[in-house]
Order: sequence, then C-alpha cells, then structure tokens
Amino acid sequence: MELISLLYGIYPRSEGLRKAYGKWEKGQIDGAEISQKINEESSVYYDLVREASLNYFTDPLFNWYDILRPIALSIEGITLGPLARYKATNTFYREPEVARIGKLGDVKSFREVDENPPFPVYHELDSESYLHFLPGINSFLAMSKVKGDISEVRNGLKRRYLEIIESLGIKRLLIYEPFEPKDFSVYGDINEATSTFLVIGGSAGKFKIDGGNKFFSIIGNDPYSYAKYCEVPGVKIIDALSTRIGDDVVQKMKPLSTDFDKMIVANTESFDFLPRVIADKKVFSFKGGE
Amino acid sequence: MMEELITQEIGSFRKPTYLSSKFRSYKGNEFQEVAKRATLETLDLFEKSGLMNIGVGGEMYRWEMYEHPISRMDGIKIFGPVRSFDNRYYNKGSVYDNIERNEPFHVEEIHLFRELKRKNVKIPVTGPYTLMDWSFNDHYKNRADLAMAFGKIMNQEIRELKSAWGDEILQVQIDEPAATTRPEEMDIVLESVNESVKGIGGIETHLHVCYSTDYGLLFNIAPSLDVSVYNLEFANRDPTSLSGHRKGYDDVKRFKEVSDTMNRKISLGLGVTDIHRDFLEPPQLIKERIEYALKFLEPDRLRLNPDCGLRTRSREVGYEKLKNMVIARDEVARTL
Repeated sequence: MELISLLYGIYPRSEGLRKAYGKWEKGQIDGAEISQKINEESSVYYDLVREASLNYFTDPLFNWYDILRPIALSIEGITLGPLARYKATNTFYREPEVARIGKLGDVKSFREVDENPPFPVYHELDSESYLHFLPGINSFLAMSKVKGDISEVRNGLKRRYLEIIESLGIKRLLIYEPFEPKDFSVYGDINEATSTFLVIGGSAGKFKIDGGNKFFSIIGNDPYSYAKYCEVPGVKIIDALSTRIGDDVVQKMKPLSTDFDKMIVANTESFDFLPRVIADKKVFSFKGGE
Repeated sequence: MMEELITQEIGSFRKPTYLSSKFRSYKGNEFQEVAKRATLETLDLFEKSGLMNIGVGGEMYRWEMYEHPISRMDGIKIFGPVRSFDNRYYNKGSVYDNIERNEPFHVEEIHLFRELKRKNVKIPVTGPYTLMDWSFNDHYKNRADLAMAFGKIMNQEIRELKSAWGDEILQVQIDEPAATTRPEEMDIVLESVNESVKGIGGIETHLHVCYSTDYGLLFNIAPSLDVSVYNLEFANRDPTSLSGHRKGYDDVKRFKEVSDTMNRKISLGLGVTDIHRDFLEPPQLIKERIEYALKFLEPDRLRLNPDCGLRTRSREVGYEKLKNMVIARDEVARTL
C-alpha cells in the first residue's frame, strides 16, 4: 500500500514567536514587525516539513489565534463573542456571533485587525505539497451563535469560501470538520472549484453527500464509511494528544492494506495541542508511513 | 450558632509586581521572604475588605494551580508550554512513569498561617481529575487509572497539610475546573476526589468548579461525594441589571433539590462577582443575588465568594470587588 503523509492544522509557535506576540500585544512592537516575524517563522516551518519529506502540509497558521478567528474577522456580520471551550480540551476559542453573512474583506494583503495578529490570512508556499486551510462550514456554525435562518447562513458562508478560493487561486484546500459530520452536500461547489481534503471528527456513520465532484481525500477514523466519496481515503494516526514519539504507522496501517492501495496518513488533531519541541519530533513520525 | 453568610475568596489573587516579575528567579530563602511579604500585604487587603475567610492570602507561593504540584512529582515531565487561548500558554506535563510526590506542595503556607495564628483559613489544592485532564497520559492504562494515581498523591498532600495544621478543623478546597467537561467521566471525578480525602479526619472539604456547562452533572454525584461545601461560579452567567430574573442563579434551586435528598448537610459557596471583568458589581446587585439564593438555602448553608480566583484582575479591582461583596453581605445579614 502506498502511504501519503499529511500534516494539518495550527502548528505550535516557537518561544521566539510567543514572546514576539507578547510584545505586540503590549504595543512594544508594531504590526509590520510582527508580520515579518510570522513570515520568518513560517519559513522555518516549511523547511522542517520539507526535511521530514511530508507529502502534504497545511499553512502553519501562526497568526490564527484560533481555528475560526481570521475567517470570522474577514466576513461582515460576524463578531467575536466570549471564550468557549474547544470540545473537552483545555483550549479555548472566541465564539463567533453570526448576525448575517456580509461581504468578504481582504484576506490577501497585510492588514491590521482587532483581536488577532495582522493578516494576510495565509503565508503561502509555492509548492504542490502546500494546502490552504479552512474550518469546516458545519463546524464553524456548530461553534458559533447563529441568528436567523441556518441554511441561509450556511449557504452564505459557502459563497464566501468560494470567493476565498477564487481570490487566492487555491489549488488544494484542506477543510477541517472536527464536529460530528451530518451533511457534506454543502461542499459540492467547493469540490468543483478546487481539490479538497476533508478531515472529519466524530463518527462518519451518518455521512451524506449529494452532487458535486468527489473530495480528493476524506480523512477520519473509519475509511470504509467514506472511501466511496473520495479518490484517496485517509486515517488519523499521528497522535497530537500524546507526547510519546513513534506512532507505529506501518503497524497500524497493516490491517487496511488488504482493502486499500493508497491511503493518506494524518495527525489526529492540530499539533498546536503539543509543545513545540515534541511537534518538531513528531513531524518525523509520518516517515514511518513511507 | 453557625456563622451565616461567610465571605471567602476562592484562591488566587494578583501578585505584586515585585513577586510576579521575578517569580522564577527567586530561589531558596529569598523566595520565601518575598512570597511571605506578598502574602502579608494581600492579607492586609483581605482583612481591610472585611473578608471573613482569608484563604491562604492569594496563593503567593504558587505560580499557577497546575504547574505548582506537578513540578513536585516524579514520573511527569514538562516538555514545554501548550496554548490555552490566543497567546496564553500553560506548561502541560507528560506522565511517562508511575507518578509520585517528591516534596510537599503547600505545607509552607500552612506553617506561615500557624505562625500568624490565623484560624479562618481555607487552603486550595488542585484536584486529581483536573490534574489528569490537563496532562498527557503516556503511561497509565487509561484516564481513570491516572486520575486515581493523582488522587492518592493528593491524599498524601492533604494528610500532611492537616498534620501540620494541628487539631483544629482545616478547610481544604479541591479545585476541579475540569470536573464537568466530560459527562461520561463523572464516575472518575467522584472516585478520584473521594480518594484525595479518604481516611483523613478533621478537615472540611470544599470543591471549587467554575464555568461548567452543566452543574447538574456535579449535583448528581453530590450524595456520594465526600464534599461539604461547593464553591461555584454563577455571576459570570447572570445579567448585571438590578431587577428581573436572576438567570445566572437558576442552579441554586437544583442544588437545594439535591441537598434535600441527602442525609448530611452540604453548603453552597455562591459566586457573586465576575472575575473576568473589571466591572464592579454594586453592592445592591450582589445583595439581590444573595437574596435570590436565600429563597432556597438557609443562611448558614450559604457562603459568598467571587466566581473564581481574582488573579485575573488588578489588585485594586480585586480589592474593590471583595469590599462590595462584604458590604452586600452585611446589609443582607442585618435583615436576617
């Protein structure tokens, strides 16, 4: 079986970047300086994932204060509410309050925003391994307070995602749906616009999708339940909630090798749940799958 | 006669800058001296505010509630900080072997309060379930086993605190902010907290939980939990308007319903000030919150406290919040 490695989600910040953010929050350095630091840190990350020979990796999202915030701040009609717990973790995010889905702001250029480090939203790498990252539409809504008609809001959000894809010329996109999947039909148009990797949480037993192209990949815990909806199914194996190094990828993939010729091997959660020093080592755990 | 409407703090209070800015740099005797000075200054503030129970003077000997105990254990290692939110981090330990306590966590605080001859003390300790939930488990078979291992360590710690305190009753507050984050694990909360106090006489056990999405989970296990006082956050979820329904305090009624089913008395520590905002709740607002709770609980079963530790606020704001709480309490007490 051919194994393809994928690292997705927010990557933990270095001590240097954390300190720089501390200074930026206190007004000791300005937006341009912190932006320069984010660029430098992103380059270090790209060197690392290339050294680890990862087949695919997302943007490190070093300037994302949580997995929703830059997108929430880019769309008129969405404001930030109180801190909310992310699942059963000790990590918190600002709960978006969605009154309506208005216009999309500039996500490409340097821009100072309230309550998040400056944009651009992504620090792109010109590489076929690079994936843009977007929070899943269903999870975005599950993690927000939404006023009004939910299906209207969902479709509005999809239209903004399509605008982001078009304005950035996104070729490969990773969508992260950590909450219980229900209906993925909302991604039909997105799958037609770009090559999409979908990472899902919870059970995929209720997986439902109508119309549109297949996903390039769906990555979850039970490939049998979603393999027919994608070209290359994937599984989440590299444990982001353990500091133990060595996830024994080959051994874990063996039982699947009789049914699948090619699979993606990914992390279970953002490496942001790990200390940086451990994340930098775990990046090389994916090699066990090559 | 039992004291009524006892005012208390929850634990932490903002450290003076001379302590916080060099907390990790001070060593040995120098640290002891500076932490003692900060404790005494904080005690002055508490006493000036009129607070009846002074805790341990704002936890000046501790950097924070998780790192302090785990850095005094074997079998657990900190590899680096992990993000809590935005650019805020905490040091998350990795359990790689059987855990053991290698030195006391808080006994120096008890020694200080003995020396100061203060009796109205409540010592907070971090609960076993939260210690487990906030750690990487790379060694124990499952989360329950790790929580019980922390429970045994906390039992050693509380036993030693009690021994250092002497014959009088010692109030011990077990802090379990993570207690209700996984409804399916309430049995682990129950067993590990009970393990922490098993066989220790002469203590009054408090439990502090905050920002829960469902206190009902906690109330369900209350009949079997070896806890006498539940110090809970409420103000954060209550409107600040003076009149109208006290929405944030709906769970007081549920607490009363559960306590009515029990054959021992349990008390409620009512969070009456929000520790996440500088807004100073006027005494009238706090008074309304207390009076609402008194519809359900007798005054000797009701204690009053901030929602959580006041370290999140400046010392000035923290003091003002405590003072308003005491003013409100005194006004209500006069009417009883």
